[in-house]
Amino acid sequence: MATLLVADDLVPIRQMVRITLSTQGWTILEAKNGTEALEVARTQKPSLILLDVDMGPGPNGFEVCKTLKADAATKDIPVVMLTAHESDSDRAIGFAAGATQYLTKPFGPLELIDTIRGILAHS
Amino acid sequence: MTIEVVEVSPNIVLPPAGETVAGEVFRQLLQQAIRVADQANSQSVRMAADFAETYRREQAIRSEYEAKLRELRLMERQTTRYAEDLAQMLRAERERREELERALNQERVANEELRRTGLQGISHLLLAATLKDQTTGAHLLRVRRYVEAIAGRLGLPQAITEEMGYSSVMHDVGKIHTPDHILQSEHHLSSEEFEVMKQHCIDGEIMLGDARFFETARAVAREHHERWDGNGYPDGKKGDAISLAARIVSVADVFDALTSKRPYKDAWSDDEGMASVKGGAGAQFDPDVVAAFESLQLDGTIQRIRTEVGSGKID
Repeated sequence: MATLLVADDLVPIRQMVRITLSTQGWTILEAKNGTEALEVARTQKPSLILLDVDMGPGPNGFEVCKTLKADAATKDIPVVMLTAHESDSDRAIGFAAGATQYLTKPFGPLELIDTIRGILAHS
Repeated sequence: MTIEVVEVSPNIVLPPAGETVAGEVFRQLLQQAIRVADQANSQSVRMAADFAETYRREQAIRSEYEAKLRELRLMERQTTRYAEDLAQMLRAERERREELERALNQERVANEELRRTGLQGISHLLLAATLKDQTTGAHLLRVRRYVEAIAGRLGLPQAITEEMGYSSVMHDVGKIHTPDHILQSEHHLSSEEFEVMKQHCIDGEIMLGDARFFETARAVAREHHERWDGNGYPDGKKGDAISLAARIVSVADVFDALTSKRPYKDAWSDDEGMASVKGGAGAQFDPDVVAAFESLQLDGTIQRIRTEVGSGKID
């Protein structure tokens, strides 16, 4: 079963994601900011990473994504941005940083599950 | 915020001290005025600084509050979105269930219809065969009850037992094509006549078509004159190559024929019939089927079936 990392500064969002994704039998790791996200990604090598953009102090989600993609150890882990930033320019920044998918909040549970399933099936 | 400080004292040149009385008074008044002005000045500086500090604190609290508010609004929208999705899923789930129930119901109705059609077909076939063969309905009923009892004793599931039961009554339907003089002959059949007689097994199988409902009935019609040792007809099948239903019907049919009165013979007793069937175990009959049948006779089941069918207390 796949292990996934969700990075978000908001506890209720992390809980919602964890509860939603645990229905699929996936193991969910959590990080509350960019620095923690990078640390967990390097040490635990999850199958997929969900990244919020604004996560308080430290690198934001776009920067975390760019850093992951620049590191040979983590560059193959697919990243899904999960953020309230919904403008086209933000999307462009996300994909430029190397994100595989870009979801906006509020997100639907099925949308989240289907997106992740699709990516895991292809990787 | 920057606060402009007005410098008062250094720019004013005081007259030299002790020159005139008027000059001295003026000097003192002026000094007092300067002190007052200086005080007022530092007071406003102090107030401005306090204001700036308070404003900064206010701003920090306000932006923190606004961030919290944004967070709450996001969570509210997020929760609403989840509730909508959940409602949608529940609706879809209910529709799927209703559709499934409708489909199941249709299936049930169709199955029941099929079963009724099949059973009606059986009774028509039997009516025709009985009229022609002079086989009594009671014979067919006893065979059916024996077959069900044997199948049950062999441990077969209820559904199979029932299927073998209704299939057994059609074992002789092919006789509708057999000429009367052969069917009703009280003499030993010539070899030519016997060849014609064999044909009823094949005709029976053909008459029962290709519906799944008659699958077992077709096997029974074709194979109920086959023998365990391979010396039966029409195909000379041997042992397990003969369907279990036909092996069971064979025992039940022969036993009932032996223990019934026929134009050319009296009815044998149950014990005589049983002895004859036992004698055929391993030759004409499947030994396991004979053993099951014997145990049914020993525990009185066979006798009970004969009594019930004979007295009209059937099914």
